[in-house]
Amino acid sequence: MLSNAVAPRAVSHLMSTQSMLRVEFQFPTSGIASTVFDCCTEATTIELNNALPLIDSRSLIFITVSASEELTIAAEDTELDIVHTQPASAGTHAHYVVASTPLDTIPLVVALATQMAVPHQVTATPANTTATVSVRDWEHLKQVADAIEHEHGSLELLGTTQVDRLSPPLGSEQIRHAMAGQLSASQLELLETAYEMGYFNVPQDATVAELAATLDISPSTLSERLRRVERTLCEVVFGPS
Amino acid sequence: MTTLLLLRTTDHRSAIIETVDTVVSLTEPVYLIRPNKAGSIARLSDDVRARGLCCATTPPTADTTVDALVRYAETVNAGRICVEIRDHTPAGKARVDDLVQGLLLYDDITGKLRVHDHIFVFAELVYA
Repeated sequence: MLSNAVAPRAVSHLMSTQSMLRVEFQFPTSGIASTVFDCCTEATTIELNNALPLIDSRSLIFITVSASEELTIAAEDTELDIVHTQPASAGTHAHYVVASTPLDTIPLVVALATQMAVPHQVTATPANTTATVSVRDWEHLKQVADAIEHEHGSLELLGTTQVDRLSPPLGSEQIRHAMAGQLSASQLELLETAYEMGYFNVPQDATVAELAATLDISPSTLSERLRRVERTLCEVVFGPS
Repeated sequence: MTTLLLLRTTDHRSAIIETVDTVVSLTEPVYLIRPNKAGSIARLSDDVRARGLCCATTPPTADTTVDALVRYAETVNAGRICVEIRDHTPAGKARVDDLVQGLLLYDDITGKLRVHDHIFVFAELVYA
């Protein structure tokens, strides 16, 4: 993934500062995203999950293509060389797609990597692409904005916030959201409490009895609820049994 | 160091002035700018002065372009520009409107940016 190849350098550079800016911006969709929308007229959004640099100025990209109806990707006669596709989840029209594409068709990724900005989320619609990235400071923001504006013609900043910790790079948020979205608020609270208390540590920092006491429930109730959470997470990974 | 404080709504006034109080020294002048609503300036001035800060009001202006703001900041040699955040995105980021984007990407001004809960603080400004 690009973040494997490039982000670590950027991460180390960013982490040397005490505070960063997380910035959300949008610009007209172009490049490989436009190609995918042209190939799949049913597609509504494309999310970039990862990008790996390859030889010959190409990149292996991992994207999620969401559609309003059954999706057909007909990428013949384009620069997109599809390696693999699979349904993202049952009951939706989203597909994970792995494809090889020339670097010049992913100018945002190249610009962010060149400027050592860390991408967190990149989502495209046929009209606009929205990206959330971390930059070091105001000057770095200007440099990144200049590079993107140069590639895409225009840039609209949507929002910014000050952060003291770097968020996960591309893909991580999607996985977390997918997992967390399957759990109820009380289940998330239970899981977070158990995690924070070190219940899952090896060796354990908190026993079932200690965790149950903190949550003010009986150990047997705690075990039952934890098994329900574990079962739900297994369903996310392996599908319904 | 002179500070320009650009207020844009009547929301969160106390919190904004409280934040300004943490970044401005007592002897430093604060110039309040409230485009098109000069009538509120007097009360805001009182609020600022009540915190012991030195407050100077600016002539009301309808010119709220980035160029005008930067020109004025340079005229009074402002080392700091504080701009009220109008609102936040659903993800909690401070929303960037045209004026703030103009300031953020302005070629002839550099410095340090800090995004607080209710204001952007552009500090240690250097004018090209």
